[in-house]
Amino acid sequence: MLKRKDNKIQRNKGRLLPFIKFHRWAGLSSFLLLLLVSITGIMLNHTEELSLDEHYISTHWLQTWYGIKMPEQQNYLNFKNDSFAQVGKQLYFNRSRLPDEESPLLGGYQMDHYIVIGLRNALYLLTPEGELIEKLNADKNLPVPVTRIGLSNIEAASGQLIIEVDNKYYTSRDEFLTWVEVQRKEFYPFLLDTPNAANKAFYRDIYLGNELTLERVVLDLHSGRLLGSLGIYLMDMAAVILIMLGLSGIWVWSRRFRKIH
Amino acid sequence: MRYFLFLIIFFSVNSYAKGIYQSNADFLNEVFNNDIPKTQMLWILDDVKKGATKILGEKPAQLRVRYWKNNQQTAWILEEVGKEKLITVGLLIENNQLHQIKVLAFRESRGWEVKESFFLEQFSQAQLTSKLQLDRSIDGISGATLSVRALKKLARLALFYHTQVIAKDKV
Repeated sequence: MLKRKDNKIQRNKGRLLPFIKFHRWAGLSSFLLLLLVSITGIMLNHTEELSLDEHYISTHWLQTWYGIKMPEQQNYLNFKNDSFAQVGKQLYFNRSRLPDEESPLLGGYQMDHYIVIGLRNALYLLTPEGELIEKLNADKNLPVPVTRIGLSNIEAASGQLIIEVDNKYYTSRDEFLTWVEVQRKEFYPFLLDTPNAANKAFYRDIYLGNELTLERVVLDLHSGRLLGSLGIYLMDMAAVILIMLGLSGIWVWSRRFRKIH
Repeated sequence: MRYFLFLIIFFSVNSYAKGIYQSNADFLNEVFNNDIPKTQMLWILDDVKKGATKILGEKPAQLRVRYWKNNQQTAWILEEVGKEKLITVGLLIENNQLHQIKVLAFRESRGWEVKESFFLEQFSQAQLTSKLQLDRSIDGISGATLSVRALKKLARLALFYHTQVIAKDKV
């Protein structure tokens, strides 16, 4: 009688063994993914407090992995001691980033008390230190699209800033609040500068360092998208394993529970 | 079919939500009854800069701001980032009270509910306290926390700029 009972237990144990093994290995293998999802989930719940969207990743291989590269639109200006760059839609005066503008840079000039930067659809007025005085656009009465920007006289001190729009010429006589059409006598357009290697490398580092936020990386780690579609399937698999883990755990536990009672 | 209808409604609401609702010129024409006063400029320097920095929590983006003044009324078109993109807001101040606030352009993908009148009505007749705060609490909108915060900042900023302009004109 006792021997028959022992056999039954052995038989049951043998039948349960694959489930117990699966439970153990599935649990161990999915634990790391569960840990990753939990930690990144907590981080994403506190995005603002952790300022995830304000931290940028400058790790080169990660930028390459995301396919972040320098855009085609790159325009440069050199002033006496400063430089200005348009990289994609990002604008920089030395290291300082200015509000974005997509339309192409036409030229710029260091006037006596301010710097003027002209783009197809906007005009930036900066202090000599590079602080933004105002960004002018069509909403602020700037005639657009500007085709050229320049001076009425080669001498900045006596020259008047002139913009060319549809073969007409405009100037402002009230600190850029309004624009009036003028007849062109002389016109010296500003030109873009050819960048040197040092300038290019300088703005390359700044631009690439401003593209990939920590929030995006954490979000992609959380969803598995960091590894592309493979990562998504990996996370799906981990989720399925976790569901099976829960179900098989309950099943194994209920079998043992029934045996004890 | 039901799923299809849901998708149509979802996307049409979203496309309606984001965009330019009113041009700056139309807003000014509306608040000044088609008689827009001359454009003026307020330079954001010294004490004005300090006050604006306190309200915004960071240095103002530009050193000068345009405004339109008619007696004790001033109108402002200000911009502030919600989460990533600029929200353009038109504000009319009269006798140090906020008379009108309107979202003119909303470029973010979420939080557009701040343009609705049920939210904006809370700002009606709001004033600025000596601590540069609004004299009332503004109820938030779930899912639009950052846009709500941006609008509250702009309301405080316009009220603050108004006091500076009125004080400057008295001198």
